[in-house]
Amino acid sequence: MADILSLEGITKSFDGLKAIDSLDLKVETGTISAIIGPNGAGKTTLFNLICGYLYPDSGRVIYKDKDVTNLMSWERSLLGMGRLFQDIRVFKKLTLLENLLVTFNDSSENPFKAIFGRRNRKEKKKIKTAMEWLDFVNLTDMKDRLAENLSWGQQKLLSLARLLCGNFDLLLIDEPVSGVNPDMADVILKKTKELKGLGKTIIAVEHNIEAVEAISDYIYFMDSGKIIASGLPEEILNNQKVMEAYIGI
Amino acid sequence: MLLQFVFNGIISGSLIAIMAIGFWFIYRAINLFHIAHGAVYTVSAYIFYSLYASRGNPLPLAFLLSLISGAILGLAMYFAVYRPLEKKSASAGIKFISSLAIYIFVVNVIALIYGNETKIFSEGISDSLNFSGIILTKIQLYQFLSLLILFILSYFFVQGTKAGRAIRAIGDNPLLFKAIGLNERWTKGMVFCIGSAIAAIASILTGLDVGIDPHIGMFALLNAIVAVIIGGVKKLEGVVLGAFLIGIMQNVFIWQFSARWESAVTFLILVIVLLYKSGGLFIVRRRVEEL
Amino acid sequence: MNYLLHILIMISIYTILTLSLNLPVGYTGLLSLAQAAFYGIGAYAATLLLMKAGINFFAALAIAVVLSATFSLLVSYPSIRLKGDYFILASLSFQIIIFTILYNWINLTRGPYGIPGIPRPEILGIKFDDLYKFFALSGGIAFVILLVTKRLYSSPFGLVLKAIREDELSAISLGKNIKKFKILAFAISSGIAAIAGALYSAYVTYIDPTSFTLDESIFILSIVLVGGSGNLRGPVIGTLLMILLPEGLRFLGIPDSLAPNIRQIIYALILILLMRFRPQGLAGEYRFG
Repeated sequence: MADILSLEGITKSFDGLKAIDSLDLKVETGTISAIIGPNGAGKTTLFNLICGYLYPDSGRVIYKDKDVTNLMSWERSLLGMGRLFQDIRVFKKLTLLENLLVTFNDSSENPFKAIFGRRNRKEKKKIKTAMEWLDFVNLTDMKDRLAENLSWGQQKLLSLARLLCGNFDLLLIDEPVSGVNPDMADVILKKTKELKGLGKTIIAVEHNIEAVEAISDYIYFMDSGKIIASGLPEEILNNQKVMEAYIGI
Repeated sequence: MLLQFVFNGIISGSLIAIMAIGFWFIYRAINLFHIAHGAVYTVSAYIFYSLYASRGNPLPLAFLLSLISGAILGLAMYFAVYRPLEKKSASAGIKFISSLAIYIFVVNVIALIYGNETKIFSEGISDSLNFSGIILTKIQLYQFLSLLILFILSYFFVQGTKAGRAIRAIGDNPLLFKAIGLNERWTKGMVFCIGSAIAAIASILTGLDVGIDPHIGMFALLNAIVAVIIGGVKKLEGVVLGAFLIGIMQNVFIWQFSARWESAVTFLILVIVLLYKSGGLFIVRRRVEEL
Repeated sequence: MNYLLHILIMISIYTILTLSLNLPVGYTGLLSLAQAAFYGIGAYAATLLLMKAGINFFAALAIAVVLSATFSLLVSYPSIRLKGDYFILASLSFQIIIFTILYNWINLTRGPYGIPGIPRPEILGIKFDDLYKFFALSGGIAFVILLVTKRLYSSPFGLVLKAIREDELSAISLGKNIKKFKILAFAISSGIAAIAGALYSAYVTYIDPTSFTLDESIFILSIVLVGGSGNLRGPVIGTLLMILLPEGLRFLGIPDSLAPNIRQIIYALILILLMRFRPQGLAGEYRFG
């Protein structure tokens, strides 16, 4: 399908205040889109609506040509919608390997299999796949360390690896390079670009304009619950009105 | 016959209501189940017993001193247990368990000191009145009147005074409350004092009627919690109404069935109300949160 | 010697109970005050099947496990959505409801009169009617349950539970149906509690509802919290401590009339101190809040 995600007329209010106002959005498969805008524009709310943590007052969420508006959040995750949170949220007391092993969502996650089943080749295969993705983010030698012992940037990479291991197709990334030093930011951006090569679609919320410029195919500028402007990076970033609205407030 | 039981229900409902009002003050402010409130109930009754029945102090004096003791105990519980846990950002579950543990501790200390048997107060208040076929003892009349007076006073306190508004404010939005600079310690301390004193009123009035034993607290507390929850936790009127509903339902049930099913029904109602209320409030799918 | 065996048998039964409650408490963060209810359902189901239907103890045990687990769905399915202390309250409510049914449904359970004369288990000609044999049985079953829970915890299923415990939102974003896993954990827990119930009833040969009260639920939860949850060490250490403590009191010469109260005081004190200073318990892995 051409557009992996399509939002139609999404509206959401909290206590009478419109957080998202009749928003339409089409995201082409295999692209990297960035959503920028001032604080309070509704970017995170938009993500929550796409993922299913919130339900819109009106409008539809179409994912992979399927109307998922009434599906629960975990159901959307199973369909391939992945999320990387602003506060990362890796499983701190689990090892890196375990963080990845938990993404498979297969039939072995079953208590009966646990008690009566045999540890078989399937487990070994899972570990192999998980290690490949750890390798992708260069965290192989830390596989048995607890995730809480990683640096912030490393945790972000781990999160990315989780999304890949779990075979998500649409990745909603909340501030990929916030809170990391420039070197780590480069690594993260590089890896994000590689994801595109793997056929993934990425929507990122980001404040760092350089980062946005470096990797995006499209930029959406949001303010007050609406998409004010959208287009190619050169267009948006050279747009006076947009930059004023963004930096002005 | 039914009327007598409905009437009994109103009286027992009055006692539940008094305890519920006390519990409500605390719950309204801190949004937590203060299980140890049941221990305050018990201790106050036993202090009253010691002062009035054992030592023969005049009733009003014993009453007043017991209320004050209850208030002090409740306040102590806040500062010794809840406050340290608040500072550590302990979860609601931990506070619940701690509160339960305090209850068990206090109640068993009472049992050690006074013994596990029921203690009856001296006779005296047992004359009964007869209103066209419905029997009412004098103590029951006092129970009902006490509730009436307490409700009116509490209602105006909560709605009409600055302190009352503070209680509602801190319960509705604790972060904002602190941000504005209002005194959290004072407000919470106050509700513990008030709530605990009210618990003492409930236990003394009940004790004078049927006697006391170390385990009366849990029963009174649980009924009060049910009343608060089914009455709608924000409104005092609802709490009292809920208490009457429970009282009447329990008494009618006791009359109708030889077995004692009324506690099952009471808690079934609680579960149903909890689930009904959580339909829009607690489910993950509706909130973005602080999860 | 009989006294020692009695203690050992009680330790094995309570180890099973504690391990059962460890699953919801330590692995999905659900503080439940309903465990005694499932303990009781197991005891009564096994006993009635044994005595009224003449089924072999072990078959009765298996059926009781399934009954208890199925029954738990009635409790967990609606309650799982409730937050923190509201869940505890709901579990407390169900405990009271189930107790009231056990107490008042005299036609089924004989209520307060209890069911006497429960036969000791037998299979393939072996009758577990002396204390040594019974301890071999209860100890053996406790050990098996220990192994089973160990397998559960280190399995993919156990990993999901740990993940949910760590961060529910994150688990949801990875496709986990939180409700389903919590309900499963709760069902397994109820099933295991039923095993303890069946063993208990066969051991004491007389049961009545007063063994399965709210106080008992509180006691079981206390052991889990004191010993610590979220791993295997915690429940075992907790059980040893909480069962041996009253026996220790006896050696100190505390009169029997005061002993129950003093026991409760000590338990309560330990719990208060741990909640305040060490919420993960003595040997546990999971820290609340």
